[in-house]
Amino acid sequence: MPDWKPHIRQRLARLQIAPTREQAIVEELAQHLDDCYAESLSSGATEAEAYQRAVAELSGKELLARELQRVERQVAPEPLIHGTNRRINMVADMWQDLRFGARTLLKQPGFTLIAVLTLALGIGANTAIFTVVNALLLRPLPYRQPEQLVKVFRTPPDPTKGMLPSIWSYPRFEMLRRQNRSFTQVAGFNQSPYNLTGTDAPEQLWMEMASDGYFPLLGVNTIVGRTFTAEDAGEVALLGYGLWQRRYGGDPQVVGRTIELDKLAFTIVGVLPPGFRGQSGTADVWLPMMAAPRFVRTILTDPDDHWFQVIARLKDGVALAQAQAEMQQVSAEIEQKYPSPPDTVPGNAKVPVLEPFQSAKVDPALKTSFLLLLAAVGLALLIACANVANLLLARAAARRREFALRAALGASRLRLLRQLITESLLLSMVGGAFGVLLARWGVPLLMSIRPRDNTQFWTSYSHTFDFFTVNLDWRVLGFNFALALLTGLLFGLLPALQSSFININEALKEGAGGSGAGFHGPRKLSVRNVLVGGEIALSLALLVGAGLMINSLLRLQSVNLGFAPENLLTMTVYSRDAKPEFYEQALERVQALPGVEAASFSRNTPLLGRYARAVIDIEGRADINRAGVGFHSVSPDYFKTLGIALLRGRVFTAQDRVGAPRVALLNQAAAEKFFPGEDPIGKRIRPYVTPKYQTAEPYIEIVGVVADVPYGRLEEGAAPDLYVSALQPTDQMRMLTVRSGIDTAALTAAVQREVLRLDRNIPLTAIQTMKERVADVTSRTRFIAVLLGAFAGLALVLAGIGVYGVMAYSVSARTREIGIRLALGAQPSDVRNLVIGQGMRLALVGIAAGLLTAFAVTRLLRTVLFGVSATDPPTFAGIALLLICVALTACWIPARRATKVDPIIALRSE
Amino acid sequence: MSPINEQRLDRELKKGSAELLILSLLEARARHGYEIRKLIETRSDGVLKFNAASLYPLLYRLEKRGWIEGKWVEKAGQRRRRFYKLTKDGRKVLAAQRGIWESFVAAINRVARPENA
Repeated sequence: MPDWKPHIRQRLARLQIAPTREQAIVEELAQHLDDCYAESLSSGATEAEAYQRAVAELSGKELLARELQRVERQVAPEPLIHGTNRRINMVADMWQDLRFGARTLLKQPGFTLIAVLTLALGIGANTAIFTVVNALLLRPLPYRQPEQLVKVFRTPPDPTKGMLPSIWSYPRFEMLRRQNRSFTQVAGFNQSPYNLTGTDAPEQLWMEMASDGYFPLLGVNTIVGRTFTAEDAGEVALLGYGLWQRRYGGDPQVVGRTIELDKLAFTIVGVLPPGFRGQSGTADVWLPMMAAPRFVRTILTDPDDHWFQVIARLKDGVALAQAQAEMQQVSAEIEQKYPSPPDTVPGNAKVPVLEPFQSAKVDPALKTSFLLLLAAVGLALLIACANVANLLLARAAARRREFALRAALGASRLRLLRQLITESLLLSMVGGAFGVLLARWGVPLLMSIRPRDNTQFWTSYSHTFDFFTVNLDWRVLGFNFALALLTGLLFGLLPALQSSFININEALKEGAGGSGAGFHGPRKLSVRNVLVGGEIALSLALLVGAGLMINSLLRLQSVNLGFAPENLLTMTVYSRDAKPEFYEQALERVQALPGVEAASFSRNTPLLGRYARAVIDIEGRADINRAGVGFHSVSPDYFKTLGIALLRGRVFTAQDRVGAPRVALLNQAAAEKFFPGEDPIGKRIRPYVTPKYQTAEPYIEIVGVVADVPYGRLEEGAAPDLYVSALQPTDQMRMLTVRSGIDTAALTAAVQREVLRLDRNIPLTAIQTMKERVADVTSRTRFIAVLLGAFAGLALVLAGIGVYGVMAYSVSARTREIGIRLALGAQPSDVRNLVIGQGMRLALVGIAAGLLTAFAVTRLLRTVLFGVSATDPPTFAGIALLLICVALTACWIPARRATKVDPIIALRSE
Repeated sequence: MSPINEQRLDRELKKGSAELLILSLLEARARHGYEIRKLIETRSDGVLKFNAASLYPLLYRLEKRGWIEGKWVEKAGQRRRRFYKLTKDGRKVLAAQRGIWESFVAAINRVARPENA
């Protein structure tokens, strides 16, 4: 009988059906042709005829293949991985590894999706946080040789005190400029709001007053006109690009025209390039420092009127430490000529402190926050790595036979290792690419909840996010790429090494792989246990950190404010030359507005971060000599408007005005500090007002005590405060506070209308509800708490999945054992307890390690915590309990599955 | 009755009736492929013919749908053969298809019958 198989095979060839299936088809069809041939012969046909008829059954060359194509699944041919180790094939091998890796990953879309998603989240979050760190701390400032720039603090800066002691007076600055030998240039600048006047739409502009060396020092030049020179007498101005476009339509003929600021005229001499907004990142207009006496006559000659910041450029080859050493001598010379007033600056703090320009721009607390977050998000990524490594290990167990076969066919260990690492890198690179997308989307989100510090007062550290542009650049992309690479190696190396150590004989002898692998892998399981234990430990540390921050936030939010922030609107109504009468009249008009319950003017309002200060003496008390207090000049209705409680005596009345005896109020903290166990009412004090502390004020009688209100940072708690009546002026008013039920926009418009009727040159600025301000002062804590909480939550989910994965794998690998136990009479509850016990042992070890880790690392948080210790026992205990619950849940599901094992099926399965 | 052009019949059959033929033949008992082919030819008096190239893909398709089930059966002294039998699902499909076919044929007949008969 003829052999039909070649005929059939030839027709099936192009279909590439799986070999075993093809074998079956060939056999069946050959059988058919045999039958056909035999029948033809028996019906009298010749052998040739019978042969013809049989072959005709296959009906041409194409039909069979075409018909089968619709039914039979084709398998993609697996290309052979050539086991060469020669260098020549490196690139070709890599390409092949990549293609093979991609196919392998696509074949398991579930695994690939989970791994890529986990990595994208981890890498994306890291990239987003790094984007901010890069913008704030790493990216060089856009000035000529920025590494040479330093900030010169007159005394060591104290960020919690609003930087006041670190600014300079003009005579001292002049001495520094002349006496130093370390700097090529020294320049001063000051930033404050001025009103654009002489128009019908007054506007507040941020003005930077700069000494003549300022622009050359930074290496910034104008795009139209010129910058300031030493010859400029204080009647010139420079425009920022934005203001030039907005108010002057970008007209290059603007040079020579006049701009009016606070009713003084200045001649425009130039326009600065786009993007340059001075040291605050918000400046609109620049005046030379020589213009300052036009606003305050003595400002350039008074050595104790400190009002601007100083920057300098180091000479080539001069190190920071060298320049710092020189400051000792310079400060001695300055001190000799202009001795510091007694008690304002302690002796050891009179030496100027140099700090690299860039780091001087970022509040150390903010820097700490972001470095902490970077560390936290790094931990979260580490946990994600452990999870992916676990997935890979489980997969590697199932692929043992594949690797054994390759090794048997001659692939070297290195070659296998490379294949596996390529797969891991492919995963991490795809994850990294999605991570960039996540970061692009996440950075604006991050910025929308960023810590806010946009008070009217300007310190070296405020307006950080105006000054720095937070965006993705090549450095961020490089970080992202490097992180993806590192991540891929981190989670890929361990499983790859394990898989490449393979006992070919053992692996090939096993069944079809998969189910049996668990029994042969006690070591593998233990590696996975370590990974999961580590995950639990790390996520516990993260969770404790998040818990402490959330705790801090809650405590911060429940601080007794001492005033009622609801329905309060605050704004700045300020003009340098406004008279007390203006404020009194404006207040009358505002109070008369329908819907306004109360309104008041004051020098400071709560929670602005900075406020005027004074030192006081107390009559007949030698022990209290120039004690520091907050100094608050307020109109009579201030306490009513803010809802501050009167504790003793009385508040100010309309009769406490010029001509009447001067009166003062203390807050509770001051009363307790200066008059412990005594009644302060009727006692007399004498304030010395900043900046000079030398004004000989008469003694003032204390007439009342009011509740404490935070004026500085909420974290600082109550400090001694002194209130004086604004109708007995010592200080200028600025802040208007209005209590009403009217909505913000309508109220603002009404107030602006009234103010403009009195003076058409005064704009309303810094309009903010008190609720918003309260939210602002807790924004940094909230920011860290939210992010840390998010990262910790992610870590918790990942760790839960990790525990579940290991337990589920362990249960499936031990199906037979569990079956035997059940067959021998174990109760389902015994089996359940066995599994849960195993899982919880693992979890508890992880939790113990995590508690130790947390104990060691949470102290890094200390500076940003509030009202809670870094080792707060309830937080530690609560988080440990939370993790125990999560671990229990993660074990419970596989444990339940274990009790459902059917002993008969389990025993038959091998 | 002249034999219909074989290739055209092939196409027509594949469209619907082929499945019905096979399922019907398997209703009584399990049969192997060659037997099915012979039965279709003899019972239709040679009008309907299937060669291997179109029969087996059809069998595999029905098998894949779960309407028939093939099994290798060895008998003493013979080579093993693949026998196909109707599954439970197949039986339901057969009943349904048969119903549709009968009403279809009746409808065609009502329309196509010479009007002046």
